Amino acid sequence: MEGAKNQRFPKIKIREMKDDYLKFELRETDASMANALRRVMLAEVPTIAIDLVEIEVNSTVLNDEFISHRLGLIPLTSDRAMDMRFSRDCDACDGDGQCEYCSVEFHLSVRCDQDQTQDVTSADLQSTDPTVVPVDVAARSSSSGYDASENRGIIIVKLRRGQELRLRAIARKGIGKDHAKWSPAATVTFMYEPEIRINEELMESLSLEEKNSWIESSPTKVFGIDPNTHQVMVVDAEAYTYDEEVIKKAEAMGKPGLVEIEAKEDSFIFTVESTGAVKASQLVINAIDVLKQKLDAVRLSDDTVEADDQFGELGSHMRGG
Amino acid sequence: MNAPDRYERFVVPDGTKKVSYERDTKIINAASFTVEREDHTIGNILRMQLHRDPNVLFAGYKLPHPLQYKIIVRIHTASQSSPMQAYNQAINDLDKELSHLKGVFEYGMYGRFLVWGSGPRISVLFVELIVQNKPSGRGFEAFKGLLGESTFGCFGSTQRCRYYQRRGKQ
Repeated sequence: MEGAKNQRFPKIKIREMKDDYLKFELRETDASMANALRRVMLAEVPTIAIDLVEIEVNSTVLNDEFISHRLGLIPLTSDRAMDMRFSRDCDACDGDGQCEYCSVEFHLSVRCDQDQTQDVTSADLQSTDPTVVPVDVAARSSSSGYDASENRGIIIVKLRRGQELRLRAIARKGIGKDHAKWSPAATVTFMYEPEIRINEELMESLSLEEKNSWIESSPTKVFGIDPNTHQVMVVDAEAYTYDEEVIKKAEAMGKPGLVEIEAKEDSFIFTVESTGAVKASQLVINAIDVLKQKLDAVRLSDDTVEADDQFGELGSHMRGG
Repeated sequence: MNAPDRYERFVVPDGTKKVSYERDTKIINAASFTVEREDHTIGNILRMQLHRDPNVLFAGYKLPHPLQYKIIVRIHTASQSSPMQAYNQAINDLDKELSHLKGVFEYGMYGRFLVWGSGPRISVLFVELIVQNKPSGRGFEAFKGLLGESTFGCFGSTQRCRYYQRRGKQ
Protein backbone atom coordinates (compact mmCIF):
# COMPACT_ATOMS: atom_id res chain seq x y z
CA MET A 1 0.00 0.00 0.00
CA GLU A 2 1.16 3.47 -0.85
CA GLY A 3 2.32 5.57 2.05
CA ALA A 4 2.98 2.61 4.32
CA LYS A 5 6.68 3.25 3.89
CA ASN A 6 6.22 6.49 5.77
CA GLN A 7 5.49 4.63 8.96
CA ARG A 8 8.27 4.27 11.46
CA PHE A 9 9.03 1.43 13.81
CA PRO A 10 10.59 2.98 16.90
CA LYS A 11 12.66 0.99 19.34
CA ILE A 12 12.66 1.14 23.12
CA LYS A 13 15.17 0.05 25.69
CA ILE A 14 14.22 0.30 29.33
CA ARG A 15 17.18 1.14 31.49
CA GLU A 16 15.74 1.47 34.95
CA MET A 17 12.29 0.74 36.21
CA LYS A 18 10.91 1.47 39.65
CA ASP A 19 7.31 2.10 40.68
CA ASP A 20 7.71 5.86 40.56
CA TYR A 21 10.71 6.24 38.28
CA LEU A 22 11.50 5.11 34.78
CA LYS A 23 14.42 5.70 32.47
CA PHE A 24 14.29 4.49 28.90
CA GLU A 25 15.73 5.04 25.45
CA LEU A 26 13.49 5.83 22.53
CA ARG A 27 15.06 5.40 19.10
CA GLU A 28 14.22 5.64 15.43
CA THR A 29 11.57 8.30 15.72
CA ASP A 30 11.73 12.08 15.78
CA ALA A 31 11.50 14.86 18.33
CA SER A 32 7.84 15.53 17.51
CA MET A 33 6.87 12.07 18.74
CA ALA A 34 9.10 12.31 21.82
CA ASN A 35 7.65 15.70 22.68
CA ALA A 36 4.07 14.61 22.06
CA LEU A 37 4.58 11.75 24.49
CA ARG A 38 6.10 14.07 27.06
CA ARG A 39 3.26 16.57 26.72
CA VAL A 40 0.61 13.87 26.96
CA MET A 41 2.21 12.37 30.07
CA LEU A 42 2.26 15.75 31.78
CA ALA A 43 -1.12 17.09 30.83
CA GLU A 44 -3.43 14.51 29.32
CA VAL A 45 -3.14 11.19 31.11
CA PRO A 46 -6.14 11.08 33.45
CA THR A 47 -5.94 10.58 37.19
CA ILE A 48 -8.35 10.95 40.08
CA ALA A 49 -8.23 13.92 42.44
CA ILE A 50 -10.56 15.55 44.91
CA ASP A 51 -12.60 18.13 43.02
CA LEU A 52 -15.56 19.03 45.19
CA VAL A 53 -15.58 19.53 48.97
CA GLU A 54 -18.59 20.03 51.20
CA ILE A 55 -17.45 21.29 54.57
CA GLU A 56 -19.70 20.51 57.50
CA VAL A 57 -17.58 21.81 60.34
CA ASN A 58 -14.37 23.74 60.09
CA SER A 59 -13.06 25.38 63.21
CA THR A 60 -9.43 25.06 62.21
CA VAL A 61 -7.02 27.91 61.52
CA LEU A 62 -7.27 27.40 57.77
CA ASN A 63 -10.27 28.60 55.84
CA ASP A 64 -12.54 26.31 53.80
CA GLU A 65 -11.05 27.17 50.41
CA PHE A 66 -7.53 26.66 51.66
CA ILE A 67 -8.37 23.19 52.96
CA SER A 68 -10.27 22.30 49.79
CA HIS A 69 -7.28 23.28 47.72
CA ARG A 70 -4.96 21.18 49.85
CA LEU A 71 -7.26 18.18 49.55
CA GLY A 72 -7.28 18.55 45.78
CA LEU A 73 -3.50 18.34 45.63
CA ILE A 74 -3.29 14.98 47.43
CA PRO A 75 -2.37 12.34 44.82
CA LEU A 76 -4.79 9.41 44.79
CA THR A 77 -4.13 5.95 43.36
CA SER A 78 -5.59 6.18 39.88
CA ASP A 79 -5.21 2.80 38.22
CA ARG A 80 -8.94 2.94 37.62
CA ALA A 81 -8.86 6.36 35.96
CA MET A 82 -8.42 5.14 32.37
CA ASP A 83 -11.65 3.13 32.64
CA MET A 84 -13.62 5.79 34.49
CA ARG A 85 -15.84 8.44 32.91
CA PHE A 86 -15.33 12.15 33.09
CA SER A 87 -18.18 13.44 35.23
CA ARG A 88 -19.19 15.85 32.45
CA ASP A 89 -19.68 12.85 30.10
CA CYS A 90 -21.42 10.72 32.72
CA ASP A 91 -25.12 10.23 32.11
CA ALA A 92 -25.61 7.81 34.98
CA CYS A 93 -25.59 10.51 37.62
CA ASP A 94 -26.21 14.16 38.32
CA GLY A 95 -22.65 14.79 39.41
CA ASP A 96 -23.21 14.69 43.16
CA GLY A 97 -20.63 11.99 43.67
CA GLN A 98 -22.76 8.96 44.37
CA CYS A 99 -21.91 7.54 40.95
CA GLU A 100 -19.62 4.53 40.63
CA TYR A 101 -18.63 5.41 37.04
CA CYS A 102 -17.31 8.90 37.52
CA SER A 103 -16.62 9.71 41.15
CA VAL A 104 -15.33 8.48 44.48
CA GLU A 105 -16.55 9.87 47.78
CA PHE A 106 -14.32 10.63 50.73
CA HIS A 107 -15.20 11.48 54.31
CA LEU A 108 -13.06 13.15 56.88
CA SER A 109 -13.91 13.75 60.49
CA VAL A 110 -11.27 14.71 63.01
CA ARG A 111 -11.54 16.50 66.32
CA CYS A 112 -8.74 17.35 68.68
CA ASP A 113 -9.45 16.53 72.34
CA GLN A 114 -5.94 16.70 73.70
CA ASP A 115 -3.47 19.40 74.62
CA GLN A 116 -0.97 18.34 72.01
CA THR A 117 -1.23 19.61 68.46
CA GLN A 118 -2.96 17.05 66.31
CA ASP A 119 -2.23 16.53 62.62
CA VAL A 120 -5.01 15.93 60.14
CA THR A 121 -3.40 13.88 57.39
CA SER A 122 -4.27 12.03 54.21
CA ALA A 123 -4.55 8.91 56.39
CA ASP A 124 -7.69 10.41 58.00
CA LEU A 125 -9.48 10.47 54.65
CA GLN A 126 -11.98 7.63 54.49
CA SER A 127 -12.49 6.44 50.93
CA THR A 128 -15.64 4.68 49.76
CA ASP A 129 -13.59 2.84 47.14
CA PRO A 130 -10.62 0.79 48.39
CA THR A 131 -8.88 1.10 45.01
CA VAL A 132 -8.83 4.90 45.26
CA VAL A 133 -6.86 6.04 48.30
CA PRO A 134 -4.11 8.59 48.92
CA VAL A 135 -0.86 7.24 47.44
CA ASP A 136 1.01 7.36 50.74
CA VAL A 137 -1.70 5.30 52.40
CA ALA A 138 -1.50 2.76 49.59
CA ALA A 139 2.28 2.64 49.91
CA ARG A 140 1.97 1.99 53.62
CA SER A 141 -0.39 -0.95 53.25
CA SER A 142 1.62 -2.60 50.48
CA SER A 143 4.89 -1.87 52.35
CA SER A 144 6.57 -1.55 48.98
CA GLY A 145 7.49 2.11 48.81
CA TYR A 146 9.54 4.11 51.19
CA ASP A 147 10.05 3.39 54.85
CA ALA A 148 6.62 3.01 56.42
CA SER A 149 7.72 4.28 59.84
CA GLU A 150 8.87 7.54 58.27
CA ASN A 151 5.54 7.96 56.56
CA ARG A 152 3.13 10.01 58.67
CA GLY A 153 0.81 10.93 55.83
CA ILE A 154 0.34 14.17 53.96
CA ILE A 155 -0.56 16.88 56.43
CA ILE A 156 -3.77 18.73 55.59
CA VAL A 157 -4.07 20.96 58.66
CA LYS A 158 -3.01 21.00 62.33
CA LEU A 159 -5.54 21.19 65.16
CA ARG A 160 -5.34 22.44 68.74
CA ARG A 161 -7.70 21.47 71.52
CA GLY A 162 -11.34 21.87 70.62
CA GLN A 163 -10.82 22.40 66.91
CA GLU A 164 -12.63 20.16 64.48
CA LEU A 165 -12.75 19.39 60.79
CA ARG A 166 -15.59 17.45 59.25
CA LEU A 167 -16.21 17.25 55.53
CA ARG A 168 -17.31 15.24 52.54
CA ALA A 169 -15.21 15.30 49.39
CA ILE A 170 -15.80 14.01 45.90
CA ALA A 171 -12.88 12.89 43.78
CA ARG A 172 -13.27 12.90 40.03
CA LYS A 173 -11.37 11.89 36.96
CA GLY A 174 -9.54 14.73 35.26
CA ILE A 175 -6.47 15.72 33.26
CA GLY A 176 -3.52 17.95 33.98
CA LYS A 177 -4.58 20.38 31.25
CA ASP A 178 -7.62 21.21 33.37
CA HIS A 179 -5.75 21.55 36.66
CA ALA A 180 -2.23 20.46 37.60
CA LYS A 181 -3.61 18.42 40.52
CA TRP A 182 -4.66 15.82 37.94
CA SER A 183 -1.18 15.51 36.46
CA PRO A 184 0.21 12.03 37.09
CA ALA A 185 3.77 13.13 36.36
CA ALA A 186 6.17 14.88 38.69
CA THR A 187 8.72 15.38 35.92
CA VAL A 188 9.07 14.04 32.42
CA THR A 189 12.20 14.91 30.49
CA PHE A 190 13.94 13.74 27.39
CA MET A 191 17.35 14.55 26.01
CA TYR A 192 18.98 13.89 22.68
CA GLU A 193 21.60 11.22 22.92
CA PRO A 194 24.98 12.85 22.24
CA GLU A 195 27.49 11.33 19.87
CA ILE A 196 31.02 12.31 20.83
CA ARG A 197 33.94 11.78 18.48
CA ILE A 198 37.46 12.57 19.66
CA ASN A 199 40.06 13.31 17.02
CA GLU A 200 42.64 10.84 18.33
CA GLU A 201 45.45 12.14 16.15
CA LEU A 202 44.99 15.71 17.32
CA MET A 203 44.50 14.55 20.91
CA GLU A 204 47.85 12.75 20.89
CA SER A 205 49.53 16.02 19.97
CA LEU A 206 48.58 17.34 23.42
CA SER A 207 50.76 16.97 26.47
CA LEU A 208 49.39 15.24 29.57
CA GLU A 209 48.82 18.57 31.34
CA GLU A 210 47.00 19.94 28.33
CA LYS A 211 44.81 16.86 28.18
CA ASN A 212 43.98 17.18 31.85
CA SER A 213 43.14 20.87 31.63
CA TRP A 214 40.97 20.15 28.59
CA ILE A 215 39.11 17.41 30.46
CA GLU A 216 38.67 19.75 33.43
CA SER A 217 37.09 22.39 31.19
CA SER A 218 33.93 20.36 30.99
CA PRO A 219 31.55 21.32 33.83
CA THR A 220 30.23 17.75 33.94
CA LYS A 221 32.39 14.65 33.98
CA VAL A 222 32.15 13.60 30.33
CA PHE A 223 35.78 12.75 29.60
CA GLY A 224 38.41 10.83 31.50
CA ILE A 225 42.00 9.80 31.06
CA ASP A 226 43.42 6.30 31.05
CA PRO A 227 46.05 6.26 33.81
CA ASN A 228 48.30 3.84 31.88
CA THR A 229 48.10 4.92 28.25
CA HIS A 230 47.26 8.61 28.98
CA GLN A 231 44.55 8.31 26.38
CA VAL A 232 41.52 10.59 26.62
CA MET A 233 38.26 8.67 26.57
CA VAL A 234 34.56 9.39 26.86
CA VAL A 235 33.54 8.32 30.37
CA ASP A 236 29.90 9.31 30.31
CA ALA A 237 28.55 10.76 27.08
CA GLU A 238 25.15 11.43 28.62
CA ALA A 239 26.63 13.71 31.27
CA TYR A 240 27.24 16.19 28.46
CA THR A 241 24.85 19.11 28.77
CA TYR A 242 25.48 20.63 25.31
CA ASP A 243 27.35 23.48 27.00
CA GLU A 244 30.12 23.40 24.32
CA GLU A 245 32.74 24.33 26.94
CA VAL A 246 35.12 21.62 25.70
CA ILE A 247 34.78 22.88 22.14
CA LYS A 248 35.58 26.46 23.22
CA LYS A 249 38.49 25.18 25.27
CA ALA A 250 39.88 23.24 22.30
CA GLU A 251 39.67 26.37 20.18
CA ALA A 252 41.34 28.42 22.90
CA MET A 253 44.16 25.86 22.96
CA GLY A 254 44.56 26.30 19.23
CA LYS A 255 43.21 22.84 18.45
CA PRO A 256 39.86 23.34 16.76
CA GLY A 257 38.21 20.06 15.79
CA LEU A 258 39.69 18.21 18.75
CA VAL A 259 36.28 16.87 19.51
CA GLU A 260 33.05 16.72 17.53
CA ILE A 261 29.79 16.46 19.42
CA GLU A 262 26.49 15.87 17.71
CA ALA A 263 23.01 15.35 19.06
CA LYS A 264 21.51 12.25 17.46
CA GLU A 265 18.21 13.51 16.14
CA ASP A 266 16.39 10.21 16.30
CA SER A 267 17.51 8.99 19.71
CA PHE A 268 16.12 10.15 23.04
CA ILE A 269 16.69 9.35 26.66
CA PHE A 270 13.54 9.74 28.72
CA THR A 271 13.19 10.01 32.45
CA VAL A 272 9.72 9.78 33.92
CA GLU A 273 8.90 10.44 37.55
CA SER A 274 5.41 9.66 38.72
CA THR A 275 3.51 11.23 41.61
CA GLY A 276 2.47 7.72 42.57
CA ALA A 277 -1.03 8.04 41.11
CA VAL A 278 -0.04 5.46 38.51
CA LYS A 279 3.20 3.55 38.12
CA ALA A 280 5.75 5.28 35.91
CA SER A 281 5.69 2.41 33.42
CA GLN A 282 1.90 2.46 33.33
CA LEU A 283 2.05 6.21 32.80
CA VAL A 284 3.96 5.71 29.55
CA ILE A 285 1.51 3.04 28.37
CA ASN A 286 -1.45 5.26 29.25
CA ALA A 287 0.19 8.17 27.42
CA ILE A 288 0.50 6.07 24.27
CA ASP A 289 -3.16 5.07 24.57
CA VAL A 290 -4.29 8.65 25.14
CA LEU A 291 -2.28 9.89 22.17
CA LYS A 292 -3.86 7.17 20.02
CA GLN A 293 -7.33 8.24 21.17
CA LYS A 294 -6.51 11.84 20.36
CA LEU A 295 -5.37 10.93 16.85
CA ASP A 296 -8.50 8.87 16.39
CA ALA A 297 -10.61 11.89 17.33
CA VAL A 298 -8.99 14.12 14.71
CA ARG A 299 -9.68 11.75 11.81
CA LEU A 300 -11.74 13.31 9.05
CA SER A 301 -15.33 12.28 9.61
CA ASP A 302 -17.38 11.02 6.68
CA ASP A 303 -19.94 13.81 6.94
CA THR A 304 -17.20 16.42 6.66
CA VAL A 305 -15.97 14.87 3.42
CA GLU A 306 -19.55 14.39 2.17
CA ALA A 307 -20.34 18.04 2.67
CA ASP A 308 -17.30 18.81 0.58
CA ASP A 309 -18.37 16.48 -2.24
CA GLN A 310 -21.55 18.49 -2.60
CA PHE A 311 -19.40 21.53 -3.12
CA GLY A 312 -20.70 21.65 -6.69
CA GLU A 313 -19.18 22.28 -10.05
CA LEU A 314 -16.36 24.45 -8.87
CA GLY A 315 -15.21 21.83 -6.39
CA SER A 316 -15.03 19.01 -8.91
CA HIS A 317 -13.40 21.33 -11.39
CA MET A 318 -10.75 22.22 -8.83
CA ARG A 319 -10.04 18.56 -8.33
CA GLY A 320 -9.45 18.20 -12.04
CA GLY A 321 -12.77 16.38 -12.66
CA MET B 1 -13.95 37.55 36.25
CA ASN B 2 -14.18 37.07 32.51
CA ALA B 3 -11.65 34.26 32.36
CA PRO B 4 -12.78 31.44 30.09
CA ASP B 5 -13.73 28.20 31.83
CA ARG B 6 -10.87 25.75 32.12
CA TYR B 7 -12.74 23.01 30.32
CA GLU B 8 -13.02 25.26 27.24
CA ARG B 9 -9.51 24.15 26.49
CA PHE B 10 -10.42 20.57 25.69
CA VAL B 11 -14.19 20.21 25.37
CA VAL B 12 -15.49 20.73 21.85
CA PRO B 13 -18.56 23.00 22.12
CA ASP B 14 -21.94 21.66 20.97
CA GLY B 15 -22.58 22.16 17.29
CA THR B 16 -18.91 22.50 16.44
CA LYS B 17 -17.06 19.94 14.39
CA LYS B 18 -13.79 18.56 15.70
CA VAL B 19 -12.22 18.71 12.25
CA SER B 20 -13.28 20.78 9.29
CA TYR B 21 -11.43 21.78 6.18
CA GLU B 22 -11.50 24.38 3.52
CA ARG B 23 -9.94 24.00 0.11
CA ASP B 24 -7.75 26.75 -1.18
CA THR B 25 -9.57 28.79 -3.79
CA LYS B 26 -6.50 29.49 -5.86
CA ILE B 27 -4.28 26.43 -5.57
CA ILE B 28 -5.38 22.94 -6.59
CA ASN B 29 -4.64 20.25 -4.00
CA ALA B 30 -4.21 22.64 -1.13
CA ALA B 31 -6.44 22.85 1.93
CA SER B 32 -6.53 24.15 5.49
CA PHE B 33 -7.78 21.83 8.20
CA THR B 34 -9.13 23.39 11.35
CA VAL B 35 -8.84 21.06 14.32
CA GLU B 36 -10.81 22.22 17.35
CA ARG B 37 -9.44 21.86 20.89
CA GLU B 38 -6.03 20.57 19.90
CA ASP B 39 -2.58 22.06 20.31
CA HIS B 40 1.10 21.46 19.55
CA THR B 41 0.86 17.84 20.71
CA ILE B 42 -1.21 16.85 17.69
CA GLY B 43 -0.16 19.70 15.40
CA ASN B 44 3.54 18.97 15.51
CA ILE B 45 3.42 15.18 15.10
CA LEU B 46 0.95 15.59 12.26
CA ARG B 47 3.13 18.13 10.51
CA MET B 48 6.29 16.03 10.88
CA GLN B 49 4.51 12.93 9.65
CA LEU B 50 3.18 14.84 6.63
CA HIS B 51 6.74 15.91 5.82
CA ARG B 52 7.63 12.26 5.44
CA ASP B 53 5.04 11.83 2.69
CA PRO B 54 6.70 12.42 -0.70
CA ASN B 55 3.36 13.58 -2.17
CA VAL B 56 3.15 16.44 0.30
CA LEU B 57 4.65 19.62 -1.09
CA PHE B 58 3.88 21.74 1.94
CA ALA B 59 2.63 20.99 5.43
CA GLY B 60 2.49 23.37 8.33
CA TYR B 61 0.40 24.08 11.37
CA LYS B 62 -0.30 27.08 13.53
CA LEU B 63 -1.91 27.78 16.84
CA PRO B 64 -3.50 31.11 15.91
CA HIS B 65 -3.88 32.45 19.44
CA PRO B 66 -3.29 30.98 22.89
CA LEU B 67 -6.91 31.60 23.87
CA GLN B 68 -8.37 30.18 20.66
CA TYR B 69 -8.20 26.51 21.39
CA LYS B 70 -7.69 25.25 17.86
CA ILE B 71 -4.96 24.55 15.37
CA ILE B 72 -4.90 25.10 11.64
CA VAL B 73 -3.04 22.53 9.54
CA ARG B 74 -2.30 23.54 5.99
CA ILE B 75 -1.44 20.87 3.44
CA HIS B 76 -0.45 21.21 -0.19
CA THR B 77 0.08 18.01 -2.15
CA ALA B 78 1.19 16.90 -5.59
CA SER B 79 -1.53 16.18 -8.15
CA GLN B 80 -1.60 12.39 -7.66
CA SER B 81 -2.67 12.88 -4.04
CA SER B 82 -5.02 15.17 -2.17
CA PRO B 83 -4.72 17.01 1.14
CA MET B 84 -7.45 14.81 2.66
CA GLN B 85 -5.73 11.65 1.52
CA ALA B 86 -2.40 12.87 2.93
CA TYR B 87 -4.07 13.92 6.18
CA ASN B 88 -5.73 10.54 6.66
CA GLN B 89 -2.58 8.68 5.70
CA ALA B 90 -0.53 10.66 8.22
CA ILE B 91 -2.97 9.84 11.01
CA ASN B 92 -3.03 6.17 10.06
CA ASP B 93 0.76 5.99 10.01
CA LEU B 94 1.05 7.72 13.38
CA ASP B 95 -1.56 5.42 14.82
CA LYS B 96 0.36 2.36 13.63
CA GLU B 97 3.60 3.82 14.95
CA LEU B 98 2.03 4.23 18.39
CA SER B 99 0.64 0.69 18.33
CA HIS B 100 4.11 -0.53 17.55
CA LEU B 101 5.55 1.67 20.28
CA LYS B 102 3.17 0.23 22.84
CA GLY B 103 4.15 -3.27 21.80
CA VAL B 104 7.88 -2.66 22.06
CA PHE B 105 7.46 -0.83 25.36
CA GLU B 106 5.60 -3.72 26.92
CA TYR B 107 8.13 -6.10 25.49
CA GLY B 108 10.85 -3.91 26.98
CA MET B 109 9.24 -4.11 30.41
CA TYR B 110 9.01 -7.86 30.11
CA GLY B 111 12.64 -7.88 29.05
CA ARG B 112 13.47 -6.32 32.42
CA PHE B 113 12.29 -9.43 34.16
CA LEU B 114 14.91 -11.36 32.27
CA VAL B 115 17.57 -8.89 33.36
CA TRP B 116 16.39 -8.89 36.95
CA GLY B 117 16.15 -12.62 36.95
CA SER B 118 19.72 -12.97 35.83
CA GLY B 119 21.24 -10.96 38.66
CA PRO B 120 21.71 -11.56 42.35
CA ARG B 121 19.41 -8.71 43.38
CA ILE B 122 16.20 -10.58 42.72
CA SER B 123 15.77 -11.71 46.28
CA VAL B 124 13.26 -8.95 47.01
CA LEU B 125 11.22 -9.69 43.93
CA PHE B 126 9.15 -12.58 42.98
CA VAL B 127 7.23 -12.98 39.82
CA GLU B 128 3.96 -14.73 39.54
CA LEU B 129 3.52 -16.57 36.31
CA ILE B 130 0.13 -17.18 34.82
CA VAL B 131 0.12 -19.45 31.80
CA GLN B 132 -2.74 -18.75 29.43
CA ASN B 133 -4.53 -16.64 32.04
CA LYS B 134 -4.83 -19.54 34.46
CA PRO B 135 -2.84 -19.50 37.68
CA SER B 136 -0.41 -22.33 37.28
CA GLY B 137 1.33 -23.61 40.34
CA ARG B 138 3.68 -25.61 38.20
CA GLY B 139 4.66 -22.57 36.17
CA PHE B 140 5.29 -20.55 39.26
CA GLU B 141 7.39 -23.28 40.85
CA ALA B 142 9.38 -23.56 37.66
CA PHE B 143 9.86 -19.82 37.62
CA LYS B 144 10.95 -19.77 41.25
CA GLY B 145 13.42 -22.52 40.53
CA LEU B 146 14.82 -20.56 37.68
CA LEU B 147 15.23 -17.40 39.73
CA GLY B 148 18.30 -18.89 41.30
CA GLU B 149 19.91 -19.62 37.99
CA SER B 150 21.80 -17.25 35.82
CA THR B 151 19.64 -17.31 32.71
CA PHE B 152 16.10 -18.13 31.80
CA GLY B 153 15.74 -16.59 28.38
CA CYS B 154 13.55 -19.41 27.13
CA PHE B 155 10.44 -17.93 28.72
CA GLY B 156 7.84 -15.95 26.92
CA SER B 157 7.66 -15.91 23.19
CA THR B 158 6.61 -19.51 22.65
CA GLN B 159 4.15 -19.72 25.51
CA ARG B 160 1.54 -17.07 25.98
CA CYS B 161 2.33 -15.84 29.43
CA ARG B 162 1.41 -12.95 31.60
CA TYR B 163 3.82 -11.72 34.19
CA TYR B 164 2.97 -9.88 37.32
CA GLN B 165 5.61 -8.01 39.18
CA ARG B 166 5.26 -7.99 42.93
CA ARG B 167 7.46 -7.24 45.82
CA GLY B 168 7.57 -10.08 48.26
CA LYS B 169 9.35 -11.06 51.39
CA GLN B 170 11.66 -13.75 50.25
